[in-house]
Amino acid sequence: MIHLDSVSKSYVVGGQSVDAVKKVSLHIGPGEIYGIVGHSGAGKSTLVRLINRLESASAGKVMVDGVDVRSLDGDGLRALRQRVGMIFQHFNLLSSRTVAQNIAIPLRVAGWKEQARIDARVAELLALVGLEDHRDKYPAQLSGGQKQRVGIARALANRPQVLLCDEATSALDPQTTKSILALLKRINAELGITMVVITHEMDVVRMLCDRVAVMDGGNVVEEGDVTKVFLHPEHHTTQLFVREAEHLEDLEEVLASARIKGRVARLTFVGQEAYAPYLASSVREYGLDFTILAGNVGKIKDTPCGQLIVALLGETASQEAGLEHLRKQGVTVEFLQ
Amino acid sequence: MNISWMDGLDWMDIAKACLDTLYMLGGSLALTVILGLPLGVLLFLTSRRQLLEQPIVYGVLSVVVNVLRSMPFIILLIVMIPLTYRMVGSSLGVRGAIPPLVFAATPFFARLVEIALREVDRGVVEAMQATGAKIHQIVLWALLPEAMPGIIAAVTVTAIALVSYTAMSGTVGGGGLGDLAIRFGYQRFQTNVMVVTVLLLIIGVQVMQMLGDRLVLRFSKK
Repeated sequence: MIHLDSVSKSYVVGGQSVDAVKKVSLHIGPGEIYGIVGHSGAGKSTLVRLINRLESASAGKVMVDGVDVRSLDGDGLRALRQRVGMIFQHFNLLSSRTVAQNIAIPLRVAGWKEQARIDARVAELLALVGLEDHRDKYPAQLSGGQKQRVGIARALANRPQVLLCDEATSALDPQTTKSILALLKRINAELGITMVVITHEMDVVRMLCDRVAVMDGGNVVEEGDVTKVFLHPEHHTTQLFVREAEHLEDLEEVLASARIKGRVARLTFVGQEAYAPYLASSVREYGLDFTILAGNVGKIKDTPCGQLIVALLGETASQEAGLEHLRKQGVTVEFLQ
Repeated sequence: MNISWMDGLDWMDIAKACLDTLYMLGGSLALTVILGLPLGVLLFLTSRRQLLEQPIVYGVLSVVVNVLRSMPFIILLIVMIPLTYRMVGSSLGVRGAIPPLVFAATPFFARLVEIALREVDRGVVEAMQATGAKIHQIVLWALLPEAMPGIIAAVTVTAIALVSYTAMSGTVGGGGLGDLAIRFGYQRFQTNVMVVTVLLLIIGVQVMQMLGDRLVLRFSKK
């Protein structure tokens, strides 16, 4: 659906050229929820704006649904933008217009004239985002979460194939963030719309995305399925992001303060086995002895998964037997120390 | 009432002067808004990092606006006499006063409109662009409605500036309250005429400011 081929974007700031995006290539399939994660200034907001040409790429190829975005003329670009919705961190609603009028804007842009038809479509969209009772309110009368729902309804008005989400939950509290992510997930499932989700919060990626690209300094430093990136991060930046999300920031500190001398292993469970009692059986049947230093059990999008960091105790032979049993059940064992 | 204080106060003259001032004000304000609003929008759109960024167009417009704004009104009034005569067939009276008033107020108002538009959140414009809106749709549906409170405040400020300009146009035969104050109050030492006209002007300005503030509040949904 979206193909970026060694796309670059550079700005001239004070006579100096700055590269915001450096030769990035990404391929996003139809119906996929694709996360782009990075610290502020990593180039992710610029990257997403290259897709609907709110920013023009300096080099490379940008294809959206078979259309070469960089070669479009004014009319072509406006037509493309009607097929690519966008939501924003600060919602960017018209404060002088009601909820219904805000949502109707893209319809009027698309040339809808008949008020009854516009009203009917707006009512559908309000129902989709759960704001039926707020149709005639002004944005200032709404909470942050409700404002973002209006933003989502507006972005979906023309039934786009792609939805770009630029830090859509970064201005919201954790509870509201969850409800907005659930809404986006539902919309993706119901409408099959492709989503590109820009965020600096790994939790957003974990709850929402199928695949993720990690950006640092204008480059994509790691890319892949969310479970893979989460459970086995390779690049340093990714590892920092994942640790932050897992609340495992200071593993070294834990190891030091626990004064562990023996081996330390990371056990990773993915899929239904995350809920199976393999660890208990390896204790019972093989005499594996350990102490848990840190851990996390939960879901990555819809996949159950868990990760435990354990210090291994007791005889090496029983350790090996216990670990072998775990490996056989599909648990990944890695030694940290 | 004190008869001697009322000496030489011709209420008919004052009423006529009031009406003249209102005509001058209404006519010049209407024309100023009609001409200044598009000029302000154009200034905004062609300025740096805006939708129609055009440094040369912006530079030229900006210089013209600055030249007109830096000219003291009383000078503009005299410089424009031949032009005014051509435009309305007279450089005297209410009619003759309107062209210089409009020339003086339009650049001032356009600048205020430009400033009001700058206050509109850039994100709102970006969201409009992302829907595929054309520039005129962005201006009419987003920029102007969002800037409306600021634009109404600009109309109020401009109207009040025009009141003081109308007084000056009295010196070249413009008519109105200012003219009355200068001819009777100043040149004939009739202090009571001066006091009454000044009071009327103060009341007029107060009423306009109040109306303006109320409208700003009405249009402000933030």
